Amino acid sequence: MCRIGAIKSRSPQSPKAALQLMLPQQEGHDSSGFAMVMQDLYGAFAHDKEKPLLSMACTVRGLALVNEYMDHHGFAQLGQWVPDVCKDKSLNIHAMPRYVFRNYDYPEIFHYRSQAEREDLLMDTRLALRELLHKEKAGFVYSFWPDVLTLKEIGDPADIATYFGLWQDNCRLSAKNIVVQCRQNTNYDIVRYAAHPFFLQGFTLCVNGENTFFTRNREYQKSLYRGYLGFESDSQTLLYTLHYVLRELKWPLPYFKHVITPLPYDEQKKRHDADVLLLIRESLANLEINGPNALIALLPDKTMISCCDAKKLRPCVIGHDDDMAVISSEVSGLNVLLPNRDISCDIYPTERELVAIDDNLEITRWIQ
Amino acid sequence: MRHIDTLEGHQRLSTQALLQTLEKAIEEGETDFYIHASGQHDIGGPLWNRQGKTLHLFLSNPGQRVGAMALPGTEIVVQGSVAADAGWLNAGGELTILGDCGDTAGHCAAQGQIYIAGHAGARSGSLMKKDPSYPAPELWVLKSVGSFAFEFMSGGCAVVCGYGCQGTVLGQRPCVGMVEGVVYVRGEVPDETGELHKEPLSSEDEHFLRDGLKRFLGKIGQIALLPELNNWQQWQKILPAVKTPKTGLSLREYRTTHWISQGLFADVLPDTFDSVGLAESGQFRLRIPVWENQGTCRDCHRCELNCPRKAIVRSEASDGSPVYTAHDHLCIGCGLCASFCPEQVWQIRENQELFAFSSRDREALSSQD
Amino acid sequence: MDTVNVQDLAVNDLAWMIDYSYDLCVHCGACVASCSFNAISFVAQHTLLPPELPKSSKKLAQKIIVKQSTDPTKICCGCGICAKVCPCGAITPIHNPHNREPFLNQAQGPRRRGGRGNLSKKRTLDALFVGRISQMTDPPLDAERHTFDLRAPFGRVLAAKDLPLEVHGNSLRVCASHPPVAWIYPLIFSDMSIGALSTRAWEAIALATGYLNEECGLPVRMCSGEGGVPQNLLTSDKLAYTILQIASGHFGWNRIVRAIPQMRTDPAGVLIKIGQGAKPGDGGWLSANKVSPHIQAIRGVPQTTLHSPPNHQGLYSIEESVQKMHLSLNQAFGFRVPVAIKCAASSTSVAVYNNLLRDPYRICGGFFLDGLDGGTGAANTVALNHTGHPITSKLRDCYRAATTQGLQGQIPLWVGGGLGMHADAAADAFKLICLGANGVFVGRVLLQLLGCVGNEHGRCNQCHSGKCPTGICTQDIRLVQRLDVDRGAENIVNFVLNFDRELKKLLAPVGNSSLPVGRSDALITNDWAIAQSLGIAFAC
Repeated sequence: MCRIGAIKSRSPQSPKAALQLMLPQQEGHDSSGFAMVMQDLYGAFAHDKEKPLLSMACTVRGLALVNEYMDHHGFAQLGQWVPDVCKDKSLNIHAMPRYVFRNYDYPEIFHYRSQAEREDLLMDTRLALRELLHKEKAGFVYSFWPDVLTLKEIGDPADIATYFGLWQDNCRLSAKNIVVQCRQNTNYDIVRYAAHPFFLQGFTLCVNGENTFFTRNREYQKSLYRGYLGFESDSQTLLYTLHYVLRELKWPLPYFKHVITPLPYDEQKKRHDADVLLLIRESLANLEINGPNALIALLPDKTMISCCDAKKLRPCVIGHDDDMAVISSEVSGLNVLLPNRDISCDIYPTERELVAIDDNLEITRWIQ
Repeated sequence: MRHIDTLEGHQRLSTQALLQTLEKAIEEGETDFYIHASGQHDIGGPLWNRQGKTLHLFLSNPGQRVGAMALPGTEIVVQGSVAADAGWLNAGGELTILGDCGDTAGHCAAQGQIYIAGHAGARSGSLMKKDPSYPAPELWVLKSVGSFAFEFMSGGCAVVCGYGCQGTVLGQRPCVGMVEGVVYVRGEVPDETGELHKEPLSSEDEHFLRDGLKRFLGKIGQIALLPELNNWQQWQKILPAVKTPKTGLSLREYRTTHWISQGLFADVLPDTFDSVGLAESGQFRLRIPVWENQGTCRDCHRCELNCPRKAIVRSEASDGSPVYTAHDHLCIGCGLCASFCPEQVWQIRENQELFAFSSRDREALSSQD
Repeated sequence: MDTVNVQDLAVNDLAWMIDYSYDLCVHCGACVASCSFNAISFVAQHTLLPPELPKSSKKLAQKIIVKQSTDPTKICCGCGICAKVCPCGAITPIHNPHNREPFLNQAQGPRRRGGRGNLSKKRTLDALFVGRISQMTDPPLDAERHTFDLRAPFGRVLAAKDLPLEVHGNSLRVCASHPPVAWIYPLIFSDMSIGALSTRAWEAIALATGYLNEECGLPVRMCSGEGGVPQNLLTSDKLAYTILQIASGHFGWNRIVRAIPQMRTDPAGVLIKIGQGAKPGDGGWLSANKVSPHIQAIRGVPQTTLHSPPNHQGLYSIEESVQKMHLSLNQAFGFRVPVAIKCAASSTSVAVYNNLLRDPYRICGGFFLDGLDGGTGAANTVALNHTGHPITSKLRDCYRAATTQGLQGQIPLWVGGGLGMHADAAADAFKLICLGANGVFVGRVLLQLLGCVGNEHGRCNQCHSGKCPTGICTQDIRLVQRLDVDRGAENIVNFVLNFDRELKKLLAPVGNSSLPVGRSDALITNDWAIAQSLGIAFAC
């Protein structure tokens, strides 16, 4: 089982905290990779938070292609963070020649456009870069969004961290939200895009598990929205479902849980909101997941959520104190980051529950 | 007391290295350990001291399967909460968790005691069993357990104290497939399936719990809770469900009591719903023998003698001539009478009394369409 | 001795020859008495005894034996009722592989209907296996222990963005009407009409349906067939389990319409029958000898052979078929009842499905596709043998056509046609569901459960003749009385309960607790061409 984790903190946390969270869960690592998404950035990206940040790994040629594309489309480069990599040959990492973490200013004309138009621009730009790099076998683009940074690489998580200098306390990356995984959730080829967390238009999602309804999820999502593509991992579909329910349909958050793990039909029928639940189930039967899963997601408003599959086959625990909330596959991670928390306040989400932590660390537990 | 640290900077001792260190120390005679773990699995068993001394393990932050396969003479105390499978396959150890347990705590435990000072996760106590040669396993939980707990439990005893719980103490669908053992529960127990076998406590149960709770609360340092938990009215026990074969309605009962009175077609074709055999006498025979005597009957009795149902009776007309009659309630219309008749006095005709679709239909048939 | 000519029928020309043993026979008469085809009778046979002395005269001895008829209207069909009733094992029909019946039939013989697809066909379903088993990547489930959610939609499903939902705080509320959708068991008892079936057979199926709903908690639905519906059912609350069928003959619909004000509940749905898989492009046919007085009453017809035309007379284009027909039947029940359509699988099925999917009024609540392996005793044998389309690839084509447009699931796909031929309906259903079906329908299996003795190898199959020896497909009261409604219904109930168990036994190893509609990754095949055609994995 892949271990997943997330930190939400009042004060910015460096990646080291995320690494410490995952370290005791090392039995789940398999040197297939490390990935994290950081949101609400400080350190190197404390400024220009409203400007889109491009996260990618590429070849030298890939970088030239991207530069040319961005110039051509009117994006002006602002600040960037260039990792001071440790080129120790003994490190188990499949490093790419270039890593880009760079803020851009919107093209002139978009200064006057709506938020929605900007969001579309950012996604379309990312998709265009993705295709460009893919065609030339020149790299991978993970996210292009304000105040969001994605770092992914293949190899041993500890070595990857060493390579990027993430163990260091003075690392220039920090954020109030970090979602992390130390293994690719794929049973098949190891591909950078298959590594969690996934990101789309402000939504970050990280899952462990096997989505046995992947085929039907994918077949449905392919024509649902142009941003739903890739499908390198069977759990990408969960990100797209989250995006679809919240951003496209604009339904309240608890319905995400109803979509992915609908209540048994006989129970739905007896509820006061049976009409709504049945309609949703009918319409979105193709987005059900069925199989073991635990997920962590981060929403555009920085609410962090977690829930599990309907049979509670995968574990997940949430611990918190006044300054930090942490989600982890295993409690051993919490014990490292929050050794002095009140453990009687730990939350083990049940199979029917969706737990949301808002930006004030207020925790809401939705029972399905 | 041997202290073992498992983290040095971000270098973590692997599970294998830690367990080999531990075994080596025990081999050297050490019996008491304090292990600052960092998620290593399987700490606690199977371990034993060659002189039969009790092993004491104090653990912080172990990983999954703490106390798994623990043997008698191993006493483990965990500071704080642990992940899944605590006490898995416990073979006689004593495991005290001073916090919560993840899923499947006590899974397949067959001996020993597991004391949990908090909550235990989904499928806890599943497949606990009792070996007839050894004392039964015990699983004590101060708070609640997650869904699907005690699935397929086939022995032993579990106690869920429901301390500090709002709402249910067991999650969804507890004790499914439980065949032996007992689960004591304090507090609300849902029963969606209606299949739980719940009973109030007997005096032996109360006796067991009175002693056991004292021991349990002592182990987890919560002895002050004893008066609150010692309220037997709040307790009940769950035993294996007695499988009574479901005595549903027969189809006949359903038809006569729940179905449309007289049947669907009562208005156009009344039906008694009695059925007849394939070769029976009476009105539903396919064919009937007709004695069409044109004075040729030899009165040879062959029809009468050979009728398999003894349906043919000879009588005499007023002029003394023989009259053979096939009785409807006996005759099945087999035509043996006709085949034995030397003069073809018996003719076999379609029994059309009830079925009036006549020659016309045969034409329709052969004309096809 | 009579003269025998070449063209005269002899027993060895027939498909079934009676194997009779005089030595075992006790002359109880049961075989002859029970033969509904009048194909056998007792006759006196004279045999020559060997002379006792060289010079004594020949002696004739008389034996009463059972003899098989060669009269074309009384031909043995191999039903085996004689063997069933014989207490001594003295008689049984034997299939005659050298028979000339196909040619006799061509030469104005007696039988050109009936059968069950008399040419052997290879079924695609038998080349498919559930090959994606949950082993370590994810846990398989336990068929006995876990809960399963086996329900299928029947009705027009809207895309999520079109749902009439409004956000109120943290919840959604329904703010306008929407098409009705019923969640039913994924197995429908297929349309077999009153007329085709005896009153008792039809009632047994209805009774089993009622029992499954009320006593077993399985919302199984039964489709009425196009022969009308009994008044007692129309005004009963059991109507809720019945899908009313309308076909080109519209038989019985005057009574259904007149009963609407008296209905205590809505019917489960309406199924517009355009065609059926066993005789695609051909209408229903009920021979006059099955049009008994109660059929005349229910259908509103005189006693005559009844034809349903191949086409609904008012439907002259696909647009009309989609709109006009659906609209009428939707409005008949106040737009509260799902209305679906049934077609024979055909090379045109995808076109039909596309039209249904694109219909802007969203009033088609299901597409029922019937494949060529379906049975009907009354179809012309030439249709049974030579027309139709296998169901598996056609279902897959329709599902993929919807998937390409992102419309899958909006009009539920229900499929049938020879399901459970090899008594494995659950496996057939599971495979079809993985390929995109929402549910399946079965017909012939039900007859078989009631006691039908027919099979794919030419046994009996005299459904059209009115002489059904089991009382299932006849209106002959003498034969209908043979059928025990309660036992027949019980067999159907047990079949469905077993279907349910077996379906779970297939769901569990793939790790699913709800129906894996479109989960083609669960299937494999050892046939390369099938793998390519269906888009599933090839395995060898």
